[in-house]
Amino acid sequence: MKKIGLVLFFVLASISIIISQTMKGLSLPDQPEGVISFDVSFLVNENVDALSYDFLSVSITNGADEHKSIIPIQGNYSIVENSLIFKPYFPFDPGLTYAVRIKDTNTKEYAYFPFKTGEKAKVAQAKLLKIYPSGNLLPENLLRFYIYFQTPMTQGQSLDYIKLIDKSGKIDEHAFMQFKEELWSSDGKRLTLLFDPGRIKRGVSTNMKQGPSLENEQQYTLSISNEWIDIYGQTLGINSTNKITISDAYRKKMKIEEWNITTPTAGSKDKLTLRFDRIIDHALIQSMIQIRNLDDNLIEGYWDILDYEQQIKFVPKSTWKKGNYKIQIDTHIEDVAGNNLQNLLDHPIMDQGINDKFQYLNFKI
Amino acid sequence: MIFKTLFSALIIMFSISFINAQQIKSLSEMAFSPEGVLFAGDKVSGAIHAFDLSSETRSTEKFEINAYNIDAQVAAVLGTAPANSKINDMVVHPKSGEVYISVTRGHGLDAIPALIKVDANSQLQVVDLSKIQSTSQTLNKLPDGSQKFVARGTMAPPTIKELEKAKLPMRTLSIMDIQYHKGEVFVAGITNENFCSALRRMPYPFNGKESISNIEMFHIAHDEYETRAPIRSFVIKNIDGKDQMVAAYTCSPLVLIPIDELKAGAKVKARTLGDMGNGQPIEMVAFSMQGNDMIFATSNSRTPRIIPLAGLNNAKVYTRDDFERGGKLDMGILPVGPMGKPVMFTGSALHVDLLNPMQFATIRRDPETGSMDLETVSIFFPNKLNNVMAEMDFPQYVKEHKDDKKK
Repeated sequence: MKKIGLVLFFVLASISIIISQTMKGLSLPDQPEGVISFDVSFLVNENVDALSYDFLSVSITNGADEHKSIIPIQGNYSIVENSLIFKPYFPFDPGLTYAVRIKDTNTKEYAYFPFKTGEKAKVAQAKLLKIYPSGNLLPENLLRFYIYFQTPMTQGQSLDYIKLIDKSGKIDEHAFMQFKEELWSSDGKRLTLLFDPGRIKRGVSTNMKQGPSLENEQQYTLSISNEWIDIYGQTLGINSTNKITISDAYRKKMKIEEWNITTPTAGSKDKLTLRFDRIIDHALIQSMIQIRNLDDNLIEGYWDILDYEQQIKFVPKSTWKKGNYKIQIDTHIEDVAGNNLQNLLDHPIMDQGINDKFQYLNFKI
Repeated sequence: MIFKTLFSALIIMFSISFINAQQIKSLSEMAFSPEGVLFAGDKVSGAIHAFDLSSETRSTEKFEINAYNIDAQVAAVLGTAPANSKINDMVVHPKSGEVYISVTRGHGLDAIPALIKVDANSQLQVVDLSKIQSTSQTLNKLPDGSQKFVARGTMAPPTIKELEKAKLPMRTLSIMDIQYHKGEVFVAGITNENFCSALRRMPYPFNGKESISNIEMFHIAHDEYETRAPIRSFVIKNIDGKDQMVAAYTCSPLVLIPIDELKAGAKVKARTLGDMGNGQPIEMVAFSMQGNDMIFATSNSRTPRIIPLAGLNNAKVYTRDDFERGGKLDMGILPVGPMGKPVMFTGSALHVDLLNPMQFATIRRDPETGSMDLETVSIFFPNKLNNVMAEMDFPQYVKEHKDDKKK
């Protein structure tokens, strides 16, 4: 590399840097988030770490001689391999003309290279992607819906757009918990919609006064209005009407002994199947269920979630080896009614439940 | 039967809102502690951020800062057009004497906060916020984005500008002014309630605790007891033997609020000491001139006033009983009370802070060109003379006076 640098140095030293629209080694950004990169391997005798605004700077220009009295845009300089990289603190504005100014280290004269950046990437369309649980037959004590969107949505008025409607067309205004701060994922694309737990738990006053939000054998529609806008001002466009039918509440403790394993064969990359006795909260599966060998080493792979979250299939990264394995299940894993392996959501306070952090299902290949 | 309460959902909820609030989404009103911690309001994420700049030191003993067309310079270093960046506030670092400017770069959803330092050589430097240690305190009971104002149309049908004003979210008034005082941060603004004019206080270092009091005051010019319009600016000073907030409201009453009355949930009645006259206060800065403590108060509608603190001690407290019914105007009885006097100031003072005991740093709008300039002015005569042409600018005058001196 040093040799190439030397050759370049002699070539460039013999002809002083040519001022033109393009320059060897200079790369201009075409995106607002882009950087300026300039190959400085010819500067064998310079302390490249000391290079800064005077050697290479960027500023807004209106063309002509405007850039004679420029104020450089501020940002960070770094040397990556043989290139000097300038990254401004803030992205370039599409529509403005910028110019890179480079100083010829021999003649001490400046050369200017104007550029414009393209528009920002178009924002994806606002869209309701998926609702979990994804099935249509759900228990009476269902705790929450997860609603996934393509773009970050406006927050704070979700319940103006989301309604639970019974078969007669009546809207239940108090079905869901009303928090001052709604439960959004940090990227603003997933809303967790909690049913009022007071109406799920047995013996709590709201349950007794208003009855449960969902009643067994009844049908409901979870309606999401097309008028809801995302943070870019786009409406969802399509009214979503998710019809559900209600089945018996999950009132029995969850037991892993009631789950079924179908094991793959050694030497294959077949999937391992784990079938639950009920619908499990999809959001917790990947992080809370792991496969380990008897040496406690993690088997790499991921879970395919199938059959409306009643079945998961483990896709291993490598082929299965003969031996004994265990499925490690975090006892905080929940079914869709919020019951976990430790206890029921509305267990009596005297019932201490299970305190182990993990439970294990063993299998052999 | 007793049932265990479901706490997990609530814990998740609070942790989410806490994380979101930590993000620096905007920087507007600012204040320094004497140690050099910079407090900045963030109306978008709903928080006060504290940046530890206490290691900054003074490079030059005495200096002036004069940066002309400061709005254009700010835009240039941020790589954008002046119309695309807005200066929100300006404060002086108590140790380094350098000027810090909070800026919004871009509009609406694309807006990004920026902090800029102007050094002793009047050079601008973008402060890389990722390299500064910061902590944040989330503010409770903030108005959400949906609450708006009304178009009044009092004297005539509302103009386009008035209609635009009415479209502003109330959240824009959530943080109006910040001051640090003896280990606590005080924030004036509004809450999401009907009785919304509020003062928040929180210990620093932040510990998640915030206490909110609501403030009622008698408004001389409006002839009303008011509970909604927020304090625009305040300073904390010892008046009548105790620490009190000297606070200014729009149109423009000046009130006292004892700090010890600002308890969580308290409805505090401010003491109205007078009215500076119609207009909207921008900032108040405490300073001392020839041993007298003063307040330099700027307004978007009037020339700045200098108010001696001596006049606020043992001052009459005005109530509705002191006046005839009806609004009060400059053309009528205003100003009222010990409101000091207006001083010459060429152009509009937008932001002001004390640069050193003898000088203010100001960002002002030039009356001739409209340019926005960062300038240093003397506390005795807060002006530059580039906009006035007087007898003394004539060469003959200068010569005569030289000749006089020779005699």
